[in-house]
Amino acid sequence: MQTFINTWGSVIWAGFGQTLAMTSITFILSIVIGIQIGVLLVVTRADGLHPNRTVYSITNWLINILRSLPFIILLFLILPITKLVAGTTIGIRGVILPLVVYAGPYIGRLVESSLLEVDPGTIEAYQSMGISNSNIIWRIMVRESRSSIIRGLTIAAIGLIGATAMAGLVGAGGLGDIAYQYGFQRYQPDVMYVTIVILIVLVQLIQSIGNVVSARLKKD
Amino acid sequence: MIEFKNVSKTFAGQQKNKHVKAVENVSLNVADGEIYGVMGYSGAGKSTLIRMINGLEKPSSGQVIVNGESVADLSKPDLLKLRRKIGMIFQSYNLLVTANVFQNIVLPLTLEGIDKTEATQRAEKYLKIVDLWEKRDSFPAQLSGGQRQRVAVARALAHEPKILLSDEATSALDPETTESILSLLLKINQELGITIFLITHEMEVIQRICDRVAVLDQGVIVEEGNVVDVFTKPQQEITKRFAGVSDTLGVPRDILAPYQETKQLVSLQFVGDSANNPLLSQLQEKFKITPDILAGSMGYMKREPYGRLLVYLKTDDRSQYEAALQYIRDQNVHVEEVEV
Repeated sequence: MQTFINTWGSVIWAGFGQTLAMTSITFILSIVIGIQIGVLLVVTRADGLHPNRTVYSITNWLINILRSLPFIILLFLILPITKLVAGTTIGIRGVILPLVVYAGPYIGRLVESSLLEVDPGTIEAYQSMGISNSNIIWRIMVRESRSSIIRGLTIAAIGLIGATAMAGLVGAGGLGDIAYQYGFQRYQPDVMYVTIVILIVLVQLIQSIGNVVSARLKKD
Repeated sequence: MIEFKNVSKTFAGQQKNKHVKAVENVSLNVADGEIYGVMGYSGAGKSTLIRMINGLEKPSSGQVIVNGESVADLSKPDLLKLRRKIGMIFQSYNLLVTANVFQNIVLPLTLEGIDKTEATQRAEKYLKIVDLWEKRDSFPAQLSGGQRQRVAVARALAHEPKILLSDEATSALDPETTESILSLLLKINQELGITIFLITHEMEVIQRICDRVAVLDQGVIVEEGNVVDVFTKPQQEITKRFAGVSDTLGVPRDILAPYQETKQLVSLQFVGDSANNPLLSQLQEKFKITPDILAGSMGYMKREPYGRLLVYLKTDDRSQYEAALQYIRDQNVHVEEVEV
C-alpha cells in the first residue's frame, strides 16, 4: 500500500487535479453559455415571450448538429478553431474549447427543458403585473426552475467528467488518461482500479451534492 | 373606467383560412367603483375578453379603453405602467412555488422598481387585509386553495391598483372558501374603492357581488344589465339557464307535472324588502287562494336578501288567480308560471 502510494500517488494526484481543473473550468463556461442557449430557445419559440422563428430554428438546428457529434470526433473536428481561439491544441488549454462546445449545447437543452416546466400561468401573472420580459426570464423563470436546472447541471457535470477522459488524447492528462495509459496500455490494473474508484467516488459525490441542493431549492 | 368599443378578436386556426372568432363586436362600459361580471360557459370568449383589458391580448378590431387610453395603442413602457395599475387574480393562483408568502408579494414590487422598505411595508399592510399575516413564512404548497387565492389577492393589491381583474378566481374553490374570497372582494371594492371586472361561469359569484352582468355566448354579449334585472327577468335562453328560472329548485319533474297541468304553478322571486313581506298569507286573505309551497331557497344577491319560492296557487276561480298574480306583481315580486 505504502509502496503504491509512493510510486503512483503523485501521478494520480496530478491526474485528479487535471480532471478537476478541466471539469470545473469547462463546466462554468458551459453553464454561462448553456443558460443563454436555453433561455434563447425558450424565449424565441412560438409560444415564448419573444417569438422569433428564424432565431429559434437556427439555434435549434445548430444545437442538434453539435449534439449529434461524439466528443472524440468533435475534439478533432474543431482542431483548427481550437488553435485559433486557444493558441494551442494540446494540454488543458487545448481541450477547454472542445469541451465547452460539447457541454454548452447539452446544458442548453437541459436548461430549456427545465424552463419549459415553469407554469405558463405564473409567467402570465408576472406579465399582468407589468414586469419586463428580462425580469420575468432571469428573476422568475430561472428562479422557479432552479431545482430542475440544478438536477440538469448535475447530469451535465458528470457527463463532462466522462468527456475529460478523452482529453488525454491531446495531452491534457486527467484520471481517465491515467486509467487508459497505465491501466490498459501498460497493463497495470491496480492503477486503473484506483483511478476508477476515485472517479466513482467523485461522481457519487457530485450527484449527492446535486440532489441535496436541488431538494433544498424545491419548495413544492 | 373600462370601455369596450365594438371589440372583436379572431385567432388564426389550426388550418389556414380557418379563423376562430373568440370575441365578436363587444361593447360595454364599466363605471368607476363598480363590480362588473361577465358570465358564460367555457369557450365563450371570457378569457380573451378580460385579457384585452391589460393588453395580454390585442383586439383584432375595435378599441379597449382604460382610463381614457386605448390599450392596444400604448407604447411598451406605457403598457407596463398601465398593467401595474391593474391587478389580476387567476383560477390557478399563479404564485411562485419557490417563494414564501411574503416574498411572493415583495418580489414583484421590487421588480417594478419600488424600494425594499416600501415593498415590505405594503406586503405587511395587504397581508393583514387578506388576513394572512401569520402565514407570511409559509410556502404556497403549504397553504389551502383559499389561502393561496388570498395571497394572490394581496399580491395584486400591493400594487395599489385602480382595477382588479378576476379570471375565474373562485372556480377551483369549494363553496365555503368561495364565499370567503367573494366577501373579501366585496370588502376591497367598498373599502379601497377598486373597480372589479370578473369573469366566471358560476351564477352564484355574479349574484353575490356584481352590480352589473353581461352574458357572453360564443363571443357575443347576448344580455347585459343590472344583476337583479338580468336574473329576475332573463330574456335569453342561455341566461335563463344560468339564472335557473326553469330550474325547479330540486323538485323532480314528475312531482310537478300534475300541478303544472292546472297552469297555476308559479315561481316567485323576491329581492330586498319584498323578501320580508308575508305575501302568501295575504293571498289567502284577499283572494281565498291556498298557496301550496313546493320548494324554496333564500340567499343574497349582492347585499340584498333574495328568495325564490315554487308555489302552487290552489283555487278553482281563474279570475281570482289572475288577480292574485297582479297583486303579487304590485308587491314588486317577480312571478312567472313554471314550465317544466
